[in-house]
Order: sequence, then C-alpha cells, then structure tokens
Amino acid sequence: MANILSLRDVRKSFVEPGGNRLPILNIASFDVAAGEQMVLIGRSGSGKTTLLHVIAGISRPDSGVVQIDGTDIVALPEANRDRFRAAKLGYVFQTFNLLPGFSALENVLLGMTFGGKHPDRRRAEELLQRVGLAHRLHHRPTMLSVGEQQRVAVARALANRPKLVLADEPTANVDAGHQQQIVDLIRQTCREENVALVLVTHTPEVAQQFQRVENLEHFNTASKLNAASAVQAPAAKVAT
Amino acid sequence: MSIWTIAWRSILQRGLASTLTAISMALGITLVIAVLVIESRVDRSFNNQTLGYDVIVGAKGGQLQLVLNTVFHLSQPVENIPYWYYKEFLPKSQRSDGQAGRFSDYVERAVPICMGDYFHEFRVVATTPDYFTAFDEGPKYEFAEGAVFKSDQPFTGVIGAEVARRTGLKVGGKFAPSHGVASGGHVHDPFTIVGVLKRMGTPADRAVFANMEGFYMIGDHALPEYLQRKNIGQLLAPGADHDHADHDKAPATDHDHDHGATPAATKPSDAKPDATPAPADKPAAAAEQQHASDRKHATDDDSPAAAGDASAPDQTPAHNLPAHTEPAKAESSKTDSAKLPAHTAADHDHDAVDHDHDEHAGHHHHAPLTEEQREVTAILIRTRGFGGAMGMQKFINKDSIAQMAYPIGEIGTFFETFVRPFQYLLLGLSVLIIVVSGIGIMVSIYNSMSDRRHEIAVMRALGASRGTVMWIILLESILLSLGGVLLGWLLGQALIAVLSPWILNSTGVSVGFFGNIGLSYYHVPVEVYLIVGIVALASLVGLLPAFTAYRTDVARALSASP
Repeated sequence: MANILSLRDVRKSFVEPGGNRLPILNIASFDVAAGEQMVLIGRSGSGKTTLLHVIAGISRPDSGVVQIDGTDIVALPEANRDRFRAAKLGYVFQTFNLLPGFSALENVLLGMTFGGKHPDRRRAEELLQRVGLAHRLHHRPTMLSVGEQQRVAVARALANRPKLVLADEPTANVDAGHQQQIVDLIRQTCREENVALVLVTHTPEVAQQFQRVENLEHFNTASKLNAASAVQAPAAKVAT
Repeated sequence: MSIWTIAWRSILQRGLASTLTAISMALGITLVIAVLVIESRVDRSFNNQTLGYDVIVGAKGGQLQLVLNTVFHLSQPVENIPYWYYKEFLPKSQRSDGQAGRFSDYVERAVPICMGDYFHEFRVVATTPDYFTAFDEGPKYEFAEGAVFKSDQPFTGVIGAEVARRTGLKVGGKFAPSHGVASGGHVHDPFTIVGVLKRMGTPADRAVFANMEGFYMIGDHALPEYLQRKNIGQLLAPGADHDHADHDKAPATDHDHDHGATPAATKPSDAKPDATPAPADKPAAAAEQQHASDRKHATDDDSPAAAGDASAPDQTPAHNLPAHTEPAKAESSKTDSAKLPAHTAADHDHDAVDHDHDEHAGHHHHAPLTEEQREVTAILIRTRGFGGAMGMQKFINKDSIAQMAYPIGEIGTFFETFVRPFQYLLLGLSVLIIVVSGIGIMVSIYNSMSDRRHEIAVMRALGASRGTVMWIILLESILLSLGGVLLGWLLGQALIAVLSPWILNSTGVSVGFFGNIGLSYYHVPVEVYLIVGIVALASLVGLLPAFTAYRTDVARALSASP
C-alpha cells in the first residue's frame, strides 16, 4: 500500500531569545500508509504538536521533505500549501476550536469553505448525522456539551474528504465517559472513508487500541539530544 | 459559506460593539448627507436657477441687494425707479407715444415688478401677467388651481404654493397687501386670488403676485415727486451731483414710505381738485422745480451732450418727454409758466410737461396713478443678442436714476463669498466626524483581534490563506461602515425632511422633502461618491487589523489557550 505520508530528514528548530537555535525535530524517516490508523505518543515537549504542524503545513521545517499524497508540501508556496491543507488534510484539535459565532452545521461548512470547492451542505448534514448530531445542526458551540463539540470537530475534519486526519489529543478535554465514543467515532469514520489517521494521545487506554503505536522520542533524535531542556523549552516556546 | 457570511457573522458575534461603531459612523454620515443635500440644493437654487432674464434694472444702491430682493425676495426692500424709466426699455409698439424707448434696441423682453408690500410674512410682487410667460427660458409657472391674472382685472392676483399652504387661501380668496413688514403697516384694499401656483421649489412658492394695475390704484405707490419726469432732467446727466438733502426740505415730495404719519401728503393726485391746487403741494413742487432747473442748467453747461449720446438722437429724454406727455400739456401749461419763472428762463424744452399729474387731480382714491406718478422696483430684462446688456449698461449707469445688475453674476459672487466657505466648513467638520468614526471602527476591530487571533488561526488551519483571513477582516470593516452609511442615509433624509420647512422659512430656498426635487438628478451622484469614499475609508481603517490577521502565527495562536 502506498504511503499517504512520508517524512524524510525533517529538521525543525526554534530560535531562542539568546539567538541559539534549539532543535525540536530531527526525523530521518516517518511514513504512514493510506488508510492506516496509528498513534503517536511521547512526553510533553517531545515535539508531537510541532510534528503535526509540520505535517499539516502550518509550520515549515528548516529542511527535509514532507510528502503527502505524492506532493512535497515543503516545496509549495504558502498559499498553495494552505489550499493543499484544506483539500487533503483534516485536523482535530485538543480544544476543538469550533468558531463560536457559527452553528454546528456552519462550522462543518467552514471546513469546506477554503478548499476551493463549493461547500456541500448535504455532506455536512450527513456527517453531523453520522456523529449523532442530526438534532443539533443549528446549535452554537456554546449550547453543545464538550463531547458534542468534539464530535462536530470530527465532522468538520472530515468535511473535505481528506486523505489524512491529524488528531492532537482529541480526548484530552473530553470526560472519561465520552472518550471512547470520540475515539470510536474518529476511527470508524476514517475507516469508512479510507482516511489515514495520525492520533496523538497521552492516554494508554486509547493508545493500546491501535495496532501501530510510535513513541516520538524514539525516532526524533532532536528530542533525545536535548532530553534535559526539551522537556520545558520547546513547549514553552511553542505555547507562547 | 462565503467570506461575506463569515465577516457578517463576526460582526453579529460582537453585536454591541458592532452596533455602537455603526451608529457612530451613521451619525457622521447623517451629517454629511444633510450637509451635502442641503448644499447641493442651495447650490442649485442659487446657481442653477434659470431665471429667463439676464439683467435687472433697479434703483441705485447695492447690486446684491437688488438681486436678492428681485430674485429671492430676500433682504430689505429697495428703493424704486420711475415707471417712465421702465418705458425706456419698451419698443414703439408698447408705448403710448409711439416712439421706441431709449434702450429698446438692447431689449428683447422687459417686465416690471413692484415690491415693498407684504401679505403676512410673504412678499407681494406686483407685476404684469407677462411675468409668468415672457421669459420662456425661465421657470415654468404651472397652476395648481386657476390661472394667471388678467391685466384688465386690477385687483386680482396669484399666490405661490407655500403661501397657499400656510394661509389656506384658494382661488376666490382675498389678500390685502400691507405696506411695511408683516403686520403693523398700512393695509391696502384686498386683491382676489385667481390662481394658485404649483410648488416649484423656488422663491415663487413664497410670493404673492398682484396685478400691477391694482397696485397702482393704491395711492401709496406713487413715485416721489423728485423722481417724476418733469423733475428728472438733471438726474439723467452723467455724473450729476444729485443732492437728496435739498429735496428732503420739501416734505410733500417725500411721501413714498411715510404715509402712515402724514396721510395728507401721500397722494398728490387725489388731494388736488382740478382747479384748486393743493397749497401744500404746489410750493413744494415749485421749490423742487426751481432746484431741478438750476441743477439741470448746471449740468447742461458741464456736459452739453448729457444723455444725448444714446444711439438715436430721438431717444434722448429731452426729445421724448414732450411727446410722451402731450395730452397732459394743454391743461397745465398755464400754471407751469406762471409758477416756474426760473425754469422757463432756463429754456428747457421739457418744461411744458411739468405737472401733468394735474390732469388727474381730483380722481378719487381708486383711480390708477398716472404713468408719471407710477414707480417700479425693478425691471427684469432679457437683453437682445450678445452684448446687449453691455451696450445698455453704459447709459444706465450714467443716469442717476437706476443701476443695472447681472443676477447670475451677483448670485454667483454672493454664493462664493458667503455661502461656499460656510459649506466647506460644515463639510469639513462632517468629514472629520466620519474619519473619527472610521477610527472608531478600526479600534473596535483591532481590540477584537486579540480574541480573534485564535479564530483566525483555526481558519488558517482549516485551509484559509493569509489573504482570505485578511479579506474577512477588511470586509467586516466595510460591512460595518456600509451599515453605518445606510443608517446614516436614512437618518440624514429624515433630518432633511424635518429641517426643510425651517430652511424654506429662513432663506426662501426650498430644499424639498423626500425626493421632492430631482431625486435621480441629485441624490445619486452625492451618495455614490459617499459610498465609494466610505468603502475606501473602511478599507483603510480595516487595513491595520487585517494586516494583523494576515501576519497571525498560526502555530503559536493554535497552541495558545483559546
């Protein structure tokens, strides 16, 4: 099966206030096959979120190749990378990141707006139905429970029929009772549409459900080299 | 979902702040709309008025006052000039003496008006029926009711639309002009209204038009004696040093505006029976004549040509006078020679016509004034061909009787000098208010940016480009401004509707109500400019927050807690 995602010699560092460069990522090779579902684990500050940003094209690596569905997004101009992201990738955030001014349906439609295609309202409704929110289409995020919000976010991530979904600790803010529901939902919808999934989690119960579990610290040589400082510095840098 | 929708949602999401900024913009727009619309209409009333006549001849004095009085019926009433002077502008066919008026070659049409009387607060314009029809390039007078008065029905008149509205008068109603402003003056006999004009948006709306013939049956309107033609010789001389103080010594000659106090002195014609000259009048007239002949004599010596430099010799006053008043001569010639030795000695060919008003002596109050006693306030003239006005001006200004004014030029100068700077000031202030409210929009959106940085990052993560998020913010600014414009436009129109009657009252310039005047002609350009300007301003003030959106560091903003 062809790889939907291939990273080669990807390096990413941040400039410290003193002017020194602090390496965050140094990944020789990382591949995900089409339709494959895998879990990425690692301690805080090991560069998990940075890696997802690099894959999504939100952050640009200092060097290396990030090939998605045959396209090296590092080589793309920013505007093309944005469009590529809209078309090929879905992103599920830890904090859901629904836009508060828009209803559930509109948030899903928003996911289709920037891909260059005409938003497909029927698909948006169908997706929300699939995540069990057919009766909540016109509710604003603030009127939805935490679990419902994350389900809207999942529907939004899938709205554009992406090839790859990146989920950054999607259950971290969801109560324990609904965690499994969210994980099942993501996995099931990805499977139905043959979408590859890279899911970052701290929760062992979630991780152990996946066949492939990778610890970033094992293949990110930057985090090993900077084991002592990497625990705080990059995270602090990224978060501010 | 279009970026319009996204921008609109962002506005709705911050409803209160959006509403307040839009209102501040709306107030600025209201002011600008009000200023612009009033300005453009005032502008039109002043500058684009098609008068149909190009020259006004009236008494010496301020040209501007003459024009304001004649065209807009504003300002204080001006002095009068003799009716016979008006006749100088008429061709042979319109003169009883069969001779062409001195200036008739330069004139295509001439219409006299008499002003100075009021009906309530409205000016009474006594004129001939020609006033409404003679100037076919001028305003079209259309009647809501009735028609123009006929010259053989002296006590009839026409009222303007605003007069009709305010007084409730209709055809068949009566108005009695009073001499002097509003109430307090002497009230004359009533005129019957035979026509009500349609609203024109011009000073005619506020005017009461009376048949001049009726006006001349009111003795008050007699020409002061010193201006009657028998006495006028010296006034026609170029550069004549006319001394008003001398005339004022004779009280009977000063009866044009003072009849309230001395009714006996007002009307020479009805005070005197045929055979017995009124003692008060005769000596005064004699003194007047004495002075006049002296004066005439002196000026003739100085410049023998006098008014004789007019194009045709037979148009000089000296030649006209005897012919013109021939019928009056026989009866009065004896008394003339008897009481005016000095004059006769001076050997002026017009002495025989003196006191032709004696002919009418004994006529009762309602008999028309003789032509000699008549006066007009202004003559509206359409000159003939190119340069007609210039040709005439030379002679008129040499005479000491009248002056000539170009209404369009005077109005333009007045407008540029007094009205325009004020308009610029108002406009400047309004624009300043809009700029301030524009900055308000910028502050409002910019303040929201810290909250929205996260939203913007999310949209970026969903695939929105930098350009797209920048446009969303710009559109927000533009939509807010346009909302303000719309609101402001409505408020502005409402303001104009409310202010319109007040402006009409205080200036005589109608700015109309909602679309009353040329909506398509006026509003569209003004508002199109305004909208274009506002969009430009909104884009400008939206740039700073939009640029912030453009520069948002997605990775950092996503990692920051929302």
